[in-house]
Parts: sequence; C-alpha cells; structure tokens
Amino acid sequence: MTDVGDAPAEAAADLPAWSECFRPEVRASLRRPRPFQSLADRSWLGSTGAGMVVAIVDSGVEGDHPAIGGKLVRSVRVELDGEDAAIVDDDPVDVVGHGTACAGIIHALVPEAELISVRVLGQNNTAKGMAFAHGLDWVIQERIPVANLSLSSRSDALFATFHDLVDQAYFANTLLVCAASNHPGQSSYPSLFSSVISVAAHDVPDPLSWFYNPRPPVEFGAWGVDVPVPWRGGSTIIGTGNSFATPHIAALVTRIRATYPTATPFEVKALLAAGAADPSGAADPSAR
Amino acid sequence: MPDRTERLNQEQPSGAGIALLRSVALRAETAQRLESELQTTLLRSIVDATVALFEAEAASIALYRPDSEQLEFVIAAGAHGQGVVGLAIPAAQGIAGYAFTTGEPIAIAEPERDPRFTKDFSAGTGYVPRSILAVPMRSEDRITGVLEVLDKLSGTFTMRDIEVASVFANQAAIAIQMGARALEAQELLRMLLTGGVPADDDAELQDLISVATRSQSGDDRFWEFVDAIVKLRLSRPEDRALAIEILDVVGRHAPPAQRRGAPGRLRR
Repeated sequence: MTDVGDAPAEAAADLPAWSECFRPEVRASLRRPRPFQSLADRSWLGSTGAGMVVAIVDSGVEGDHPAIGGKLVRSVRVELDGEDAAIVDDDPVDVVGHGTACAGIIHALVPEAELISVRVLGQNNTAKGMAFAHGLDWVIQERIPVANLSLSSRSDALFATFHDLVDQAYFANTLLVCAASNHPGQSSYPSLFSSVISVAAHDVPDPLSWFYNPRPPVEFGAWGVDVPVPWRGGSTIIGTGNSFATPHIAALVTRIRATYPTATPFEVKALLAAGAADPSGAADPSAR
Repeated sequence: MPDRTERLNQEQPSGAGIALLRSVALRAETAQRLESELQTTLLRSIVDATVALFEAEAASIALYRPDSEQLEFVIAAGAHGQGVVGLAIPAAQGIAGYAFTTGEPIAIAEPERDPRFTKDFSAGTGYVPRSILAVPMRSEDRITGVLEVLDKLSGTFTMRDIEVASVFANQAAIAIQMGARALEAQELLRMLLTGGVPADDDAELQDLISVATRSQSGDDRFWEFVDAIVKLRLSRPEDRALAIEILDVVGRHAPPAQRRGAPGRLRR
C-alpha cells in the first residue's frame, strides 16, 4: 500500500470497476518502464483506414445513416436452425441502434475503411450466444482484419467455443476488439481472453486519447462516457458504456493495420500500448 | 390454493419419507403465497428507491414473458412512470430489448429534441423521455427482465449510475426468482405426490423435469433431490419402501450438510 495518496475513492469521477484504473487520480500508476515507452510510434495515427475492412458484430448497421458515409459494403445476419447456423445476406438495418453507434464511431476515425455488418442481435432470444459465436466464426473465415465486438457472451457452456474462436482469430490475423462486460467479476466471452483487445470506458472526451492498463483483463481505456453517436432512424444520441469505448480502439487498430498490414495481433497490441496517452498527466506531478 | 391442499390430503401415501415430502410441499405453498406479496412489495420498493436515488422522473421493471417473447412492464414509480404498466414490447428490440438480449446495461440520452429518437419509447405511454438507462435483471445465469430509469434530473446517466442500477436490478431479479422457485417447487412436489403426472408415463415426467431444470439451472442439489424423488415414485413398491427407510435413517443420523467448495472458475 505505497500509494496511500490515491485512496480517496469517494471523490472519484463516476467510473466503476473496470474503468477505475483510468480515473485521473490513479492513472499515474499505469506508467510503464522507460524502455517500453521508448518504442512508442504514433506515426500510424495519420492513417485514414484506406484499404481496410472492419466488421461490426452487433445489432446491424443502418446503411443510409449519414454518419456511416456510405461505407457499409455488406450486411449479413446469422440464422439458426437447431444446431445448424447459416450466414445470410441481410438488409442494411439496425434493430436497436447500437451497431450503428459503433459503426459511426469507427467511420469518424477511419473514414476510408469499409464496414461490414454482422447482425447477431435482434432475433431468437434463446440462442443468442450461439448466434454470436457463429457470426464471429464467419468473420474469421472471411479473414476480415478487424472486428468490433461491443458485446459478449456470459455462457460458460460456450467457454470452449469462444476460446477456440479467439485462437483461430489470433492465428488468422483477425484482431478482435472487445468491450469488457459492464459487470466485472462475471463471465464475459471473448472479452476476457488474453489474445483479444479488451476495452473499458474512460471519461476524457477525446476520441484519440487512450490508455493502456498493464493489469489485465481489461488492457485499454477509451472514451465511453457521454459520447455522441449515430442511432437508429437517422438520429444521433449520447451514449455511455464500454460499448462506446470499444469502437474507438477498433478504429485505432484499423489505423495501425492500414499502416503496417503484416503486423501480427501481438505487434498491433504492443504498438497500441506503447502509443497510449501518458498516464502520468498533470494529475500527478510527482510522476516522471 | 386451498384446493391444492385438499388434493394433497386426499391422497396420503404412507411412509415417513412421503410425509416429509408432504410437509415440504405445504411449506413451499405457504412460502409461495407469502413470496408473491413480498415480491410485489420488494419490487415496488426497488423502483421507488431507484427514482429517489437517481432523482429520476420514472423507473420501471419489465419482465420477460417466454410465451410471447415480450418484455412486459409490471411495476413503475415516479410521476411519469405509471403509463407504462401493462405495456409489452418485443424482447429483442429497442433499449430495453438490447439490455435484455445482451445482458449489458445501456445508457443513452437525446442531445436535443429529436422526434426520431423518441418513437421507440413513447408509444402508448404518453411520456417522452430525454434520457434512458436500461439494465438487465440477472439472477444466477438467467436474465429475467429489465430495470429502466428515465430522465435523471441532474444530467445524463454516468458509468457509476449504471453500476448502481445494476445492483438494484439484480435485487429485483432475485425477488422474482425466489417467487418462481417457490411456485415451481410447490407445483412439482404437488404433482409428484398427488399423481398429477401418470407414473407410467416416464417420458412426460422427464420432460417436466427437464423443463423445470432448465429454468433452475443454478441449484443442482435441489434438482438432484427432485430427480431422486421421481425415480423413487417410478420404482416398485418394495423398492420404494426400502428407499424411504434408508432416507429415514439417513435423515436422522446424517451429519449436518457440509458446504460445497467454491465452484470452479469455469465449467467446461
């Protein structure tokens, strides 16, 4: 307990559990050793995502929403029939608004990247975990380089299935960017697996400010509080949650991938970690 | 409820084990009656407290109805909450549907008056919220409904609000589950004891058990017990007598139940 000065949690910003490490008062503890920081390369930040494809595994994407910029090139959905699943073409619609929000955040940061919607929500309540797994499997088989997963499964029965899928993704060079569950301590697949990039929200209102947390399972923090996002019906709303933090990191990963197309998942993760915002900031003048 | 008691009294299987089961069934029935009143009171106190804590315009609880695959609003609090009670919405759509199907809370607000934003929420209620927090009600590994909070007076919902509301929602889920468990246990025991299920129709009984077991997946020991009772009922009279005798001896001489160890981190 050397950091006694960090103790007054009562005065904290409104950030819970997984986001706790990104609070200004304690952020300095995220600081990394100098040799690692010296690797920092942020030149890739200049990328617009040209030549890249990002999958949005969610509730669908509203293709004609102005915030998507006509970049939705394909929409599919998972159809379950007992044990079998089929990926079928879908209308460019969003039954909730959530997928459109994620796509909008990504498009704003990588405007030249193409988007593919994989709809796994909005139907068949009884097998949604399986639909999610099949959607993810399709993304990997299609070798889509980046997937935004602002959702997770709590089904321990699907632990092995998701574990296998994230391994396949890792070896196929598909980067899975996953929202940490908003309920720490509960199963949340695949966001808790080590080979994915897991994300929680911070409240710095800047889409290009991200933090690296060296204490997993949640490794990255991005803006996820009061984020203006596109929503269903051509509208715009203000969203809060790890769901809205995740697409920021997915967009950054897309920029890295566009700049270094052969980078492997762990190399991308290392670049993302090394280029993260200085956690010392002004909040803790004693930090180097 | 009295007719169930009468039916229990009409058929009185002999043996100490069956008598024990009868008393369990009667106790469960009483518990269930108390639970439904307690449950309503508890749910009401949860939505009342939610409104007060968040200084919100309204809070409501919608429960999942598997038959219709809809979320039905059953209780509400706050000046603008009452209009929603009785309404049902598709379980996979809109804000509440998102929280229900994904198991993740969601907080959104409208940046400015935008009629497109409101159409999902205002239908039938006459009330148009500017901000919404929807959190799933989770008990064990099941999601039974959604707690919604509308229009926090002091700005938009925060991550901390999401966390606090989740605790409230889980309290509500536990209240719902306790009621459901008492009802299902009582119903099952009643059928086993009164012959509500034909003893020679093994498949039907197994179906019943498997349906009930799916909805009670978190409590293995209870269902192991039920399973044993079912087997007992299906057995030959002499086997039954022997089993009851063993149960009786075990019941009188067994050491107090030991706590099971912590479950493994992951079941495969």
